[in-house]
Amino acid sequence: MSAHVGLAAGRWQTLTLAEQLGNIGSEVGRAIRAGERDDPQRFEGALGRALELFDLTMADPRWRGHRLREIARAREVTCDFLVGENEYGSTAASLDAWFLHYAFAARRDR
Amino acid sequence: MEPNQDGREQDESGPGIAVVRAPVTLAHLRGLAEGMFGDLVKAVVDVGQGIMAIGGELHADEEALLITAGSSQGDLWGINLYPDRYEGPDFIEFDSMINVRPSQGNRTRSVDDPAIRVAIAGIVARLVRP
Repeated sequence: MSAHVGLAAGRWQTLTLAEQLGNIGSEVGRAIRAGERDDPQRFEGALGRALELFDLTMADPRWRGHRLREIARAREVTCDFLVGENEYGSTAASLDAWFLHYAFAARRDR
Repeated sequence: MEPNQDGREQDESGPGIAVVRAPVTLAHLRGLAEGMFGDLVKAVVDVGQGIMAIGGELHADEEALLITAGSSQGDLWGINLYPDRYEGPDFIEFDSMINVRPSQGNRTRSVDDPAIRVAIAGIVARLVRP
């Protein structure tokens, strides 16, 4: 069952890429902090929401091509850090910072 | 918008999204959480008016609802409420994309000013009852 019913119905695809990635970053940040606090309930919830939003973003026809490749790589790196072997050598700070750039971009006029 | 019996004002932008001016119950929050994200309810608090919006899929939806209802954007802060952690330190999570506001000196998704965090916690304590 989708946690983001309205977004999955199409509204997600009305957001800019910066807004989409900024929102994904919020969930990734929550998963990172929950992992650091050894809080599996919050970790699983945040990870699930992050992956759902990643999948909605990757299904967005506006990002076909080189943007889709970068989004897919971001998903791969995120999963590698949160539930994988961290083969990319990410840190919580580096991952959080990558997404925060998009949050800044989405909110730069606010 | 007309408030219903427990002070919430429904909005057309989502079935659960509403402005809260009078206390709602923890059971109501639990219902919203279970119907959407499982463990959390997204909320945007207006520290100027002492009200909040709850039940949106995005903090941005709640922010827009409150601005439409007369709130000033500079007063609005996004948080997450975890009903199962009520009365614990983890009940309120200060984390939202809408909090990124370099123009106000807030450069993270958190709420950097401790005084604003205290104000938010006070409003939530008043508006959410066991």
